[in-house]
Amino acid sequence: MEHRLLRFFQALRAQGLPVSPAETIDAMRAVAVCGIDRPTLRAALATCLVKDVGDLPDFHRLFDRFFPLSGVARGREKRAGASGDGWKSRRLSADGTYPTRPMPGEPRKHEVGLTDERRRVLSPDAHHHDPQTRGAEREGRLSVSQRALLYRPFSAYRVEELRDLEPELQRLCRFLARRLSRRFTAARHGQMDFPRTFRQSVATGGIPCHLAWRRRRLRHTDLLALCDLSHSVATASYFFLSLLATTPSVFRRCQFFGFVDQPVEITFEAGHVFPAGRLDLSARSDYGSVLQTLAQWTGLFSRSTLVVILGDARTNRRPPRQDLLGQIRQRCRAVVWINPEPENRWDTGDSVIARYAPHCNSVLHASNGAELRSALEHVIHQHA
Amino acid sequence: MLERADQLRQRLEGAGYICPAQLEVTVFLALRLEKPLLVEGPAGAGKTQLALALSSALGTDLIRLQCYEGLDQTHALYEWNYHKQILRLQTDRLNGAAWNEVQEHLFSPEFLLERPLLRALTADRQAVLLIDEVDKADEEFEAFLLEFLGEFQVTIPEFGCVRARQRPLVILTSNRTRELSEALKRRCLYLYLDFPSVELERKILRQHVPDLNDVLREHTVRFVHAVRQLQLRKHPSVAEAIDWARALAALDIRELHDPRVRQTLGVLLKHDEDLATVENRYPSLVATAQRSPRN
Repeated sequence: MEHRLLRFFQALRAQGLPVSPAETIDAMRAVAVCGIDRPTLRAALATCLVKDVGDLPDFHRLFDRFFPLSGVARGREKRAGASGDGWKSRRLSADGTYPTRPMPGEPRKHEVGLTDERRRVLSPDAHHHDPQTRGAEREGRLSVSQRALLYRPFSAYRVEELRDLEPELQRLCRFLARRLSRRFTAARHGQMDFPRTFRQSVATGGIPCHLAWRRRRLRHTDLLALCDLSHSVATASYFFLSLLATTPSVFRRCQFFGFVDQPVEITFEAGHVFPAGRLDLSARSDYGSVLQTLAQWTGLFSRSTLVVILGDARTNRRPPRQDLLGQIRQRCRAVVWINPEPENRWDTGDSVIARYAPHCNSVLHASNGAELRSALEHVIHQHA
Repeated sequence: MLERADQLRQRLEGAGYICPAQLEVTVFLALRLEKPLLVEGPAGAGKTQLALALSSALGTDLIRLQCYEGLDQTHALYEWNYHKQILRLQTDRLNGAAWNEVQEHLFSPEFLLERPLLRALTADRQAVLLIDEVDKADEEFEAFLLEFLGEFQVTIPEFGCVRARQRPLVILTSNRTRELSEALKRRCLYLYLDFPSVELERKILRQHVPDLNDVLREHTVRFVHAVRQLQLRKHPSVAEAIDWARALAALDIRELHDPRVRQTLGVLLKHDEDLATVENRYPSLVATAQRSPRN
């Protein structure tokens, strides 16, 4: 039993759940306290090992594989399961496994089955699940395929591939979004908060021994994201929108605009872009007219708006209208440009990024998912 | 001292809390292994209620700490009653007391304002400490909490070390507005409390709204479940379902297709876009609710 439990822990780790040694010790103690009655065992192990609701389907799947029902027990549990409560009330499928709840992250492509049932290892990269190397990386919990997704350059993707990778991408974005949303302020420098300092100084006899710093409130930033949806940049925009869709807590309000030659408000749901108006994807990019239309919608920009533009600044030799970008910048908190093209191609051909750069607070480069994520971290840290 | 998990379930039901399956195993483990319990879930699923029911079931006090951004040690742990100390000093000065006498009682328990966490440590019996909405607190507080939960002791410089006589049962709740730190999660046992199933909600309504007739109760539960399947800004919680059932009972409504039911939807849904969505689909929702169940 103990041996089976240990292999169960290893399987959970291989699947990407962060099971630490402390948690395995807790799990062993829990089993000692509760006994090995199957429903109780499931609940006890889940409470010790699974610390995020998104990992529960994987846990249940692996649990059923490691602690399968015998035939008689299967019938009993099936009858009990039909009238049970909570997650147990879902109907058992024929072989006694619980169908997984439709969560955003669908079952992973590769499945590792360890020996007791003599299951074949279905995926070749199961051999690469070496805990040491994975633990050493910052994204220690990512599987091999997720890391491939993160580091592959945007230009290497074809649009059809993205549809297939959509569930994997969603899961990745959920994970990355956790790191993003935790970058609240350090509040050790910046502007002093005088009222709070004086209030705190009452405790020390009127002498301000402890200084209070003004905390920048992340919540009061509105995000306005402008994504170039033309063919060359579509993949980057897709990644960007997926990432932003998973960070609702960072910004107070998020507005997304897609453009090729005209800006159209879009919503991004379940991996699809839903334009609110006509969006002609086959048109040729024209940044100047996009800026012109935007500048007319004065209600969009306020002191708490952060404008992030994702594009390659290739305007097909039409007037860039960088003065309008300057006007927008004056009205907003900050304007940030993220350019997915390689830096040595900036300002070649019809790229006019150099004309826009003086009017932006920062110009960042992002050629794959990881760089996009760090660009976004930088944006939030600096400007939000 | 509880020997088995099912005793706990009976006690919780005695205190008015109907548990989903296997919840008592988790709580029992938290008690026996002396680990804190992190309860996550949508708003209104019964997380705070669980703590209240537990304190009543175990016959202990409930100590509650409501978290908010900017919560720090002063409000959570302890604070010196500075104003009272100043008054004491001034009185002593008038009386001509020497420093030796003054310093003896200046930092005494008389002037210590005990906040929830310290109260939990110094309680006589094992208390239930509820740290509510810990996701609203910031990261500094989480780091402090981590230390507290690891040791259950605190050092007050003027006093010395205050150790817990009995480790309290700590329950942390979170609405998942942000991710908690890994270290904190590792320290706790985890429970995800979702909206209840049809069967469970029926029992809950029977417990809390006994004067609703059986047929209407069944239809109410099914209606609420059908509403939860829709795409809404905020799904109706258990508390709102109970309030709605109470409203129906108070208005003496017997059946779901009574026209007055439509006017009571404001009890169930709290955003006007949600109300609009449900209004549009109202006939089909009522039909779903009244269809006979297929087991």
